[in-house]
Amino acid sequence: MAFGDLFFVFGFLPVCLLLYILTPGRFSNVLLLLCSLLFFAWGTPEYLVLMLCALAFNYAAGRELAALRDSGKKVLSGAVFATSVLADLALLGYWKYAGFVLETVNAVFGTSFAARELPLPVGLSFFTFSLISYLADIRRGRTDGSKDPLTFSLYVTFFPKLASGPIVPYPEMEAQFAHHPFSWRRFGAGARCFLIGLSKKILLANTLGTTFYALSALPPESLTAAFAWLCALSYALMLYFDFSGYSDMAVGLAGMFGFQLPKNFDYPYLSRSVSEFWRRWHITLGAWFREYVYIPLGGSRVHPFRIFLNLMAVWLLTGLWHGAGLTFLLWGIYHGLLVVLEKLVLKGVLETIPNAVRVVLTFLLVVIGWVFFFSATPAEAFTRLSRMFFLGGVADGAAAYYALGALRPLLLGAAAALPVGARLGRELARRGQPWTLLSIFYFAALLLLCVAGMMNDTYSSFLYAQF
Amino acid sequence: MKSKLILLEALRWVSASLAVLFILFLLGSTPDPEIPFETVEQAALARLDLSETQPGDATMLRRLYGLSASDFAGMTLYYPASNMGAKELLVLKLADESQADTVEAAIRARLQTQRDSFDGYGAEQFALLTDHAVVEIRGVYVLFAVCENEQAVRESFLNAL
Amino acid sequence: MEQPNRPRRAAPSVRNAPAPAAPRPQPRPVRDARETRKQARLRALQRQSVWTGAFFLAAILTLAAVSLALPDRDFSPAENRRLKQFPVFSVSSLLNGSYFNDWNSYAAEQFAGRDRWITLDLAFRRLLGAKEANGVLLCRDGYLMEPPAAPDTAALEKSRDAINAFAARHPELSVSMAVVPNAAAILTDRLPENVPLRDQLADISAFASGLEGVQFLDVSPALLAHSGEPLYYKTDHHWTTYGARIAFEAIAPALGIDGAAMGYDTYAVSADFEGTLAAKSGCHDTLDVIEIAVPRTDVLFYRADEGDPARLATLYDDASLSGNDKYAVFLGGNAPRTDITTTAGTGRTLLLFKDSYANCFVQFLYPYFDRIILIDPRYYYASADDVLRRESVTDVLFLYNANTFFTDRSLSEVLAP
Repeated sequence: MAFGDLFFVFGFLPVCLLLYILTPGRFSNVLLLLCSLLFFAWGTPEYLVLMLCALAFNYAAGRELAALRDSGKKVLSGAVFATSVLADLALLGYWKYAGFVLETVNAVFGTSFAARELPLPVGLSFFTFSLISYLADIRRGRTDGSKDPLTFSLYVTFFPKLASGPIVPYPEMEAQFAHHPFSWRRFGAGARCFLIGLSKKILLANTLGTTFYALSALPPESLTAAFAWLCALSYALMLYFDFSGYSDMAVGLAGMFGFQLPKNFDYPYLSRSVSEFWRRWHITLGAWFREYVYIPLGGSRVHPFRIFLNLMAVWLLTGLWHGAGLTFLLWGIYHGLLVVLEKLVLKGVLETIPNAVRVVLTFLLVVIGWVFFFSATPAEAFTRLSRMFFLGGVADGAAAYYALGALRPLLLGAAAALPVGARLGRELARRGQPWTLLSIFYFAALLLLCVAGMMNDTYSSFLYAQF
Repeated sequence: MKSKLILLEALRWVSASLAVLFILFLLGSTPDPEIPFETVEQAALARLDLSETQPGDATMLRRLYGLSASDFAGMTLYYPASNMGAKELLVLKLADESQADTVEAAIRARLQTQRDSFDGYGAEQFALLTDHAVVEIRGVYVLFAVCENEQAVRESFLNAL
Repeated sequence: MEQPNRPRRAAPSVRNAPAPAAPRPQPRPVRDARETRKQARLRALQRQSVWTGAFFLAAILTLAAVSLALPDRDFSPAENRRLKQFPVFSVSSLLNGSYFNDWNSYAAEQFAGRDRWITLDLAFRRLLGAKEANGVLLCRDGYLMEPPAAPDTAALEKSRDAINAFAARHPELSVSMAVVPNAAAILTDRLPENVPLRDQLADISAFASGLEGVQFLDVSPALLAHSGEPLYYKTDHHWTTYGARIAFEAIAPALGIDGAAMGYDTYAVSADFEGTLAAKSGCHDTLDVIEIAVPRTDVLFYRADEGDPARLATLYDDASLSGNDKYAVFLGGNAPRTDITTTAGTGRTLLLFKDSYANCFVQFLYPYFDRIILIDPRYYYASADDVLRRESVTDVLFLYNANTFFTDRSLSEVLAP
């Protein structure tokens, strides 16, 4: 089940909401847990067993770590922590990387091992990271964890954030589990957020996706510069609206149930540097890597060479997290090198460049990175890049066809990637009538168009869902 | 305190072991290749309503799937009696597991051909071919069934393994 | 999106500032006014949130309730397919996950007003500049066209070899073949500007050059000459009766037929035909007219489908005109084998391997052959050689449209010795 399915919006969600409104406060968490487990099990019900095992395992580990921390048993605590984290990573590693590892082994040693393919559990990459952050936070004393297995389970499987984040550390949600009162105001803000997210996904991401998939199906060697850029730009916008739309929907859904989740995107294409980009794109992932990998490795308080290693380690892992493939690794390393450059080499220089130039440059660098992200092999990525930089001719008639077809969605997308829309909306909403009524009509129009889009879209699915 | 820790540690071990066992179970063990073909064939046929189909021989196998019956250790084919039907059953016992890929490709090609033939013309048959088609390959045993109760046929086939 | 949960501040008490004797700068009342405005704005924002929430909840509940309340549709004429019914529960379907997928499909396919939503989506996408919908090109003058299919090289070679071998096995027969280009290759001036498509005419020529012992009948020049005329349906992938007639008159001489001499009475049998492309694209803007062409001839005939005892004295099936697939008015649709026996007295028997394009072509052929045996290899399981052993055939014609032929795998099977 995905947020953009008709069944989710008009089946699962209204039923959950009604039940939630009707349930007395004491049982609301239990209800949410049951809904979340159903959401997880949808389509692959056998994985419920796996999830319950993972929950039991990590709950026990968490309680142990809390007890051991209080009694000061460092070695034992370290052992429990290490084995638990390894187990969680093994879960992630098996599903995501076993195939890749076997392929590499086969390629290097000429063997032909085959791995039996199992479908990916929903939100695997996201909930394993939540589990690891939970254990680490207990060990470091940021929280005592949850004594109540139900609350813990709800933290891990909470369906608004289960499938595709945001990745929220337990301390940020701890207080909310005890107290998340229903208010129409928060519900409404959540509904607004959800509708915006749904529109981003259905109206913008899917439309741009049509262009992208048509263009990326063409052999990369045959592309002219115009084609190659159109392909990369439509991908850049499509990925942004797909993922940020999904994050908006997550935040909105959580808000409807009285929870506040952190935002995951903050107009990333307005970044003035690649480092800033990673503070605006998939914010919670960057925070997770900073908190649980970079800082434990020493962070920025060490010798510059060590900083370089730490940064490269973080970005290597970031790349790997996004996908099991050489292109993802290269993409991670590419971003890592850029960040290292900015942090250690270009420190003062950047300030002197005007903001507008920085934004454009950063955007270009990010788009180049995306070419690796969506190419199947590094060779293909380099071919596409060479075409983008005019090695294949500038444009041809067919490019005009795709360009004209993509022009309006790209313009609309570019406009929607800027904060103007949201700011205008907020300003108008503060002005009372008639703007309030008009905004309702606006949202109604969005909902209508989204339903229409969902009806026709049986094949578009959230890109990050494979994570 | 110590007993609590021991309990928790036990829970960790139990849940981890359960998870590993469960994954192994999901991966499924290869079925015993010594099972006689007739057993598997009968199991599949038991749940299949054979009306509107006719038995097929090696020639039909070649015609419909491009496969040569002599390559396999066992073959049963029932194909539509009327050319406007879509009900079909194919049960194979491979001589070797390496044949699985070729056979799967042939079955998928047959399914696609049938779907293309009825797409836009025969809504009933098309629905049967899209919603009620099952392809199952376990070890050396292959099942392809297009019929109303394809899940029952599939279960019966799997139970025999 | 980022609406902070600001706690409500107490409303400021009204200050009764006594009028000062001497003029004084007045920051406090201004600040009060700013405060009040701020409060008002915050309240307005909160009210807007509440209204949005109420609207959203009402909207999803209403649409869900209406969809559940309305009776389920079994068949969708617009999409030309059966729709998913209420999911049947069973433990096994729950365990293997298909029960959940059934619910997903059920919710989407039985949603209230499904067809209207799809039309709305198409309108929105066209507004955003889309020139295709679900793989169908949205062309000028209301035309819908399928892009030329890329030939399946392996299958195509197999077909070509089978045809060549067949012709070699039966040298006494005169074997001809026509591969009819689809609308996108002929009605090129109606295509969207600059759309990149395969050169289907080149594909056809390339195939034709590989034929041996077979007379290839090229209908493209004749069709191209008339490309301004309605040679193809607007909403369907078939050619019109008029298009078939142009092609017939072009290839008749090669078949030894004096086609030009025949006159036809044309009747429009349907004015509200919506074909496969309308269903595939969701675009229901246009309706097509189906015409039949009845040759002005004394030749009588009857036709019989294999396995069907009925003998019909007409090539047309009236019942189809009130159904969804109106193109099936020609021969009642696709059948594995149809035999047409006529009083033509020419001594020629034609074996016609075909796809659905030939269904409206037969009306031009029958006056010239004593018998026509139509075989659609997609549904025919016997072998062609069997037919030849039992019937005394004089001519063989392969008549296909390019898109179907380039991906066909059945013909080579039927032609196998």
